[in-house]
Amino acid sequence: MSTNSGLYGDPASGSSGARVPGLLTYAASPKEIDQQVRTSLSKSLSYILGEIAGHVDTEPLSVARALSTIQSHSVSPGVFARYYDLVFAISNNRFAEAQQLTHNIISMALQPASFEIRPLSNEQLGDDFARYHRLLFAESPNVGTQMPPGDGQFAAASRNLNEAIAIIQDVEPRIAREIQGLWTRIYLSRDKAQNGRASFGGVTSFMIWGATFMNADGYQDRWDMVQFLVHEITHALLFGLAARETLVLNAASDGYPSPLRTELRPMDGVYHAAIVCARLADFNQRWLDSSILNEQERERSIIAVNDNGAAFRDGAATISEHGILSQSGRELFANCCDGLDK
Amino acid sequence: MNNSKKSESTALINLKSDALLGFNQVSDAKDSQGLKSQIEMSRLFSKRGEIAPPV
Repeated sequence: MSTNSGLYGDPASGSSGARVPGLLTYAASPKEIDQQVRTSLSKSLSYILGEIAGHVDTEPLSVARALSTIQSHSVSPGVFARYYDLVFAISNNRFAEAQQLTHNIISMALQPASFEIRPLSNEQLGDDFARYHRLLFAESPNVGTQMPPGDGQFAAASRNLNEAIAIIQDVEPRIAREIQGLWTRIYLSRDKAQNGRASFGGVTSFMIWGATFMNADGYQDRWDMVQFLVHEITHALLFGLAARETLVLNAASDGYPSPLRTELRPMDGVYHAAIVCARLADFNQRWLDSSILNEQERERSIIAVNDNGAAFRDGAATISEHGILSQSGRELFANCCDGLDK
Repeated sequence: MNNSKKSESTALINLKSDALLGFNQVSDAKDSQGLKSQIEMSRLFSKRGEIAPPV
């Protein structure tokens, strides 16, 4: 465990001085970021459907309605997941699959989506159950097939998640607005734990925009849920911001040490991990300052400030040495460095 | 289906990577062998907490 090395001084003191409000500053609101991503999806789909017109049949009026509704309201994360499957199907000349995916995207896009916590269940998700697993864990063979939590576990996790969202609303309303603006689904799963550890904690993918996934075996109480939510929504935010302008310009094939992984990761992964750690350190300090946490939570948050601050510094050193960042990427990174220094 | 290899270079339709959602976030999304494969995109786009809390 790391020791406090000056981040905020003493986290337990409850005095954070004149820190900047919110660690990450960005121009658009979360709802605007979500709309920009959906608009980009709509435009890209329009382009793709034009390119495959000779291979895939579509009904022009339905396509127009679907593209318009994607821009005007939140859609199921399944629309994004199918979009990526469509791209890969076309690139591999699998046009029958492309036809089916196009049909499904159009019909699914016409169904509005609003925020819900749901079990990751084969019964409820149908095709998406295997699709999500494949898109999330293609490079992680150690993550086995997921199963939904039992009714009692799901109810308890949902209750804790809602309580955690309320805490985040009190401590850092901007992060609560990100949860409300960027997500339509929190999926809860569980897996067969090995050696007393879950095979993953949480995962968020740009390819399943609008959703995040939590292993309910890994998070037991509201403090855990707060950490999960702040961690994963920061990934979602960075994905959304990067959709407007690339943040990290390093080649994806180059690997670097990352604060949250044991293997080498692309610089983009190091960047995500560092910013997530910065935000968790910042959020836990704000939570300590708010005094709306019990004694046990207070002790855990003090440790979280120190550990995440140390992990951020590890990642920041790698980024400073090797990172090739865009203007926006540099600004967000500087934002974190400055915010944690104050 | 084999998703682990690059998209086939003989693709009948060559989609422009800069017209695809998110591919602009990847500096080398497309090379001489075509678009990055699904497994490579998953590596880039799935941010997974490897160090899971104890059960």
